[in-house]
Amino acid sequence: MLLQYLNVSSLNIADDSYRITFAPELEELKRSVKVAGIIQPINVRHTPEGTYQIVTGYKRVLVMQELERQSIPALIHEPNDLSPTQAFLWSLHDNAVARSLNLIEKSVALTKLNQFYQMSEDELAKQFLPLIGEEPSFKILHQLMSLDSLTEPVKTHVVKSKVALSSASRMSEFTPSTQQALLGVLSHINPSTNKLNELLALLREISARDGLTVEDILSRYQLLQVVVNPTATSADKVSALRQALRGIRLPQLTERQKQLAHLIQGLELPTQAKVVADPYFENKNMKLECQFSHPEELDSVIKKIQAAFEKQKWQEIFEWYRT
Amino acid sequence: MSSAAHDTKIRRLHTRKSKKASLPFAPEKVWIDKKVADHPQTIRILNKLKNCDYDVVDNVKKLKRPSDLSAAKKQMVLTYHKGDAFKPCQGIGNEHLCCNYRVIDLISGCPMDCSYCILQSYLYNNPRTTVYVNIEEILSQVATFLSKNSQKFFRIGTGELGDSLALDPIVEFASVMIPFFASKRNAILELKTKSTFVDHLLDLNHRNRTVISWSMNTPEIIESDERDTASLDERLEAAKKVAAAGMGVGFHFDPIIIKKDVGEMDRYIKVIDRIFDELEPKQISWISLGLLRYPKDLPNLATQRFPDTSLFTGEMVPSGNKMRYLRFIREEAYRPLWEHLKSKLPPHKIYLCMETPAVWEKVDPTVKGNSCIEKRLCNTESINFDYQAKPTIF
Ligand code: SF4
Repeated sequence: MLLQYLNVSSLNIADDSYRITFAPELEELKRSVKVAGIIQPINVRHTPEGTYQIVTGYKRVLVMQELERQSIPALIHEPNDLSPTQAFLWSLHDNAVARSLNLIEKSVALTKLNQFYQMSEDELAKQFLPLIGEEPSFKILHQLMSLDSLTEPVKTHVVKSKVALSSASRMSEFTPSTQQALLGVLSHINPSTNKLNELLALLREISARDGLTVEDILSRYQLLQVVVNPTATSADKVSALRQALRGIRLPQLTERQKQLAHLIQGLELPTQAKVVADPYFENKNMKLECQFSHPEELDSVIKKIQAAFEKQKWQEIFEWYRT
Repeated sequence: MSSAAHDTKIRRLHTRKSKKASLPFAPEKVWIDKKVADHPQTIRILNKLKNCDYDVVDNVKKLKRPSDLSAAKKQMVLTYHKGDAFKPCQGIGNEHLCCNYRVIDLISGCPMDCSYCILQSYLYNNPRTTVYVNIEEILSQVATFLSKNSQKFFRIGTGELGDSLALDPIVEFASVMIPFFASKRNAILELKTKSTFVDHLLDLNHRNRTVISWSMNTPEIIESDERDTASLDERLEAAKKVAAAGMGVGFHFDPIIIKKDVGEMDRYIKVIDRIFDELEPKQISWISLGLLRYPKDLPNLATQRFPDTSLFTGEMVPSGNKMRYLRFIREEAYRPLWEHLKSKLPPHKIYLCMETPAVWEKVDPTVKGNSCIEKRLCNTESINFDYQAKPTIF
């Protein structure tokens, strides 16, 4: 091992053998380097071909490049002193201990360990998942490894928008062109994990049922228009998109829900009262909720409910519900 | 392949095999728990698997998980069942009406491969086919339970975590269980299968205490989504043999699948007709109907393995921790099947599996509670257990 100042241009940045870093945030490091320079040398592996592979310190190299600095302190390891597997493990430990890896970095680490360093799924689940801050579960391992099939723009979206593992893994099941189409929609909204998973599941199920591609579904039902509306909030767009997809996916349920909403509206209840029913019509119980703050208000609410009752509107609801 | 099928990548190719459940399963590898290496059942099973690669291991729980479920299905583990291997069926104790079924866990995992199989989710972390060789110990738990509850009658099955007979050419557990139940006054054994492995059971003394039943589906679903199982014709042939041997025969239309609309029930009616073309009503102990339901994570797991399946496209909604068809779709789907079955079989031989009182009310308003279904099923002609005389025990 030799400590030396290496010319930044002599480093083979394109060689990503040991790289885990994806979509790094460089601003903070850049500020630090500007003030204090590189405090800790990077580690490089000197290949038999004479090039230098970056083992640890990829972000430092990027910053030095951006700052147009010429040289960087490096610990140089000869190939016999540092095997490729050791080098990769150094890189992994260096990253995993210093910070929390993003999902794509975790995926890259596990996929490389599996594909290039022949680590079994068992070793990955039991030894490496805890190292990168995950539960030792095969389900999580498979989900993380599936992210390898995401396109680069989608990977970037996953990191930048902090998409959850379950959603990112669902997205990886789509073809690259579908992922691209999805990105066209997702870049306009910021749904919660549950909502995003639901949207993806709805799209996939409609696609399987109707024999349409996701791209076809998006264009046939003009779903992109739903999310590009510049005046709507992200939450409104998500809700409109979800409603549109549920209407396509669950036509009978949506129709029933509409009918019930219509019947409830027909009761002409006071604003302080509402009828709550099981949205899936499984439970036949209904709830009538009232809000009031003084006896006169309660009296008036009850009178209005009574009036609706006398108009037989309640009966209609019960009869409809029973069918 | 449809355009939609192109939409989902086939990341793990599953090789589609032709129907061949008439060939016994041959595991590629058998792992033997050291604690049962000398167990007589282990030795007997290994004698059946002469050319199979096997290994004795200290702790089967520490075995590496095979890379995917299809690989895991080719491996078998021989071990023992600690604790309670005899328990109530999962339908008991929740919002569904239930027939008070009980289950014995002798095997977990299955060499067959149905797209809708919940074991893909339940056994995700432990997917190898596991055989518990301490069957005598497990049956003694059953014997104790039955004698402690001698005033009640029980239907007991083995097919909760796998197919009851798919491995029987190797494990031969049915040959132990059928005589065991023949000696019991207050229980009947049900062996539920999609295989045809019944020949070795036909001469056993069953004393009307065994029903062999088949899960039924349309030929289309069997072909597309029940891999490595017997065809509809093969199942019916096997059922005929069992009936001819004087044993009870049951059928479970489960899962009934609605991809688009309830018009698809016509296909199930044709299957009902096929059953009655082949068997006399009196040879049939019971027929159940159960629409598709599954844990919420199943479609995701299943479509990764079987991207072309369109099983999960009906109008499913959350119901507890599962997904199931909307109530009114279920009612609409069951009604023609129930009516058709009723024209062929007395109603006490027909039941809905894990259905809510609301749906039962629409299909058969005379059924008001769990004990009602239980009593009806246990009073089939084949069972000589006088419920009417002791109505208060429920
Ligand atoms: S036969 Fe039963 S246990 Fe076996 S794969 Fe099919 S559903 Fe699962």
